Amino acid sequence: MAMLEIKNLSKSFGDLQVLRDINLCVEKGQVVVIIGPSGSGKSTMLRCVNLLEKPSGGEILYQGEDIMHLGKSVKNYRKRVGMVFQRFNLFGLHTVLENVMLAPVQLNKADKTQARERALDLLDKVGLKAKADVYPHTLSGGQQQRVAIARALAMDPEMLLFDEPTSALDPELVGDVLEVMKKLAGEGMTMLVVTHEMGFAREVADRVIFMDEGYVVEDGAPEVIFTNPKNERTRAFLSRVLHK
Amino acid sequence: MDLHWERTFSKLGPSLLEGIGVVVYVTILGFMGGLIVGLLLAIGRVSRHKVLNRILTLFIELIRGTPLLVQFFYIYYVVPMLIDALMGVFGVHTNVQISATVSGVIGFSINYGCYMSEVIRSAILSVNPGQREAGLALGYSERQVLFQFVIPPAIRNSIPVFGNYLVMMIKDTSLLAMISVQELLLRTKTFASQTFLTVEAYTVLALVYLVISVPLSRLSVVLEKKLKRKG
Repeated sequence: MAMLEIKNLSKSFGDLQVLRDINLCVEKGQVVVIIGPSGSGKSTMLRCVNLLEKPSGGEILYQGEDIMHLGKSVKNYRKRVGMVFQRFNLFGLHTVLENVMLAPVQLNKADKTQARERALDLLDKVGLKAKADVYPHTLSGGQQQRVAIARALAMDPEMLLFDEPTSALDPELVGDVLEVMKKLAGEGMTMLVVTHEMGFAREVADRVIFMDEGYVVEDGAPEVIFTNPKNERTRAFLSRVLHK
Repeated sequence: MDLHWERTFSKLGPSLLEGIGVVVYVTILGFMGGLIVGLLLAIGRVSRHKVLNRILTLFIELIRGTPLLVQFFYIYYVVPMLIDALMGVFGVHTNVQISATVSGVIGFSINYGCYMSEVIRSAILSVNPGQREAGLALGYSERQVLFQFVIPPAIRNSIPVFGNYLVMMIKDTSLLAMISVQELLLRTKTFASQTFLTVEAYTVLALVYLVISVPLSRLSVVLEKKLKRKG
């Protein structure tokens, strides 16, 4: 059974249809990277997966279970699926350490001392243990994003969603964030990643999905997509972004 | 014109000091009451409950559309009569009285609460939606997100405006002279009519207000800058 299965998913904002008949599957331990031009619906699709956007039609199955009609227990589902945002969205009135340990303590009733230990370990993992007691606004974008990854990991998610995690970063800060993501992929984390980082897609992804105008245009192994795309639109997009 | 400053200071001074006590007392309670009313109204107004929303909007309109002084009179004179009449329907004879000071505290709580609710509401709406989404994505409920990650920064961003309101409230306590609260204006007026030291009395009164308000408004400017720096 697939970890995540999306069937005929559609989404419209008023008259504007942003997702049309999306079908895709993510197996446990896979890293699936979604690429495509701006406005192709990649982020909306990702946000539908943890229901920050309400899908207009279709089905989303998580470990075989329909998640679109969970009602109040949607929060239990979200605990199992972490999300990392383009703009980090750290909690500004809390220190870095609090950002990471708040949810486990408040939502999972984790023991405070243990949660603290775990949070420090996670910060260590993303290379920011030394910054545990500062406030997010004193950090660079890249550092903030790594804290955001640690925060998502603190809930022990089974799958992580990344919504253009490096798009808001200065170019020299992108590398550190991608390093952390590679490390996670290496540890077998299931990841669904929307990104413009073609290098990352090529190197880390098990599968690459190309989206355009709300459709999944192509879905395949990275070497196939990048070297021998079947679809004309995929080819056009890749030649635009790769030969810049 | 003969001015008798010394006599003014020695006679009016001690009385005004007592008056400051009353002003501080009413302002502190009224301000805290205003914060609570403001927060509750703001939460009600950002909720998705349509009927509640309509009612609260109407109430805020009502309060903001009438003068504070009229509200003080209403609470002091009319509300006790309404309560008596209402209880009379159930055959209970009450003789409710609301003291002038308490009327003042209630009036300030409601009136300033309505103005503050608008400040808090717009601060809530201007908190980056990413904060809400980050909370939801971690598994918090909408309500938890509101109280944990949206209201605290909203309150923090409202603090400079609250500073201004505090200064305004201190000055507005002078309205309470009209319902016989022994605050600064009423004491000065009594003194002036007894001694005819009108110029001295009201000049001293003005100075007392200045001495209280100017440092407070300075403080709120400093606070505002400090909060801004921390982002």
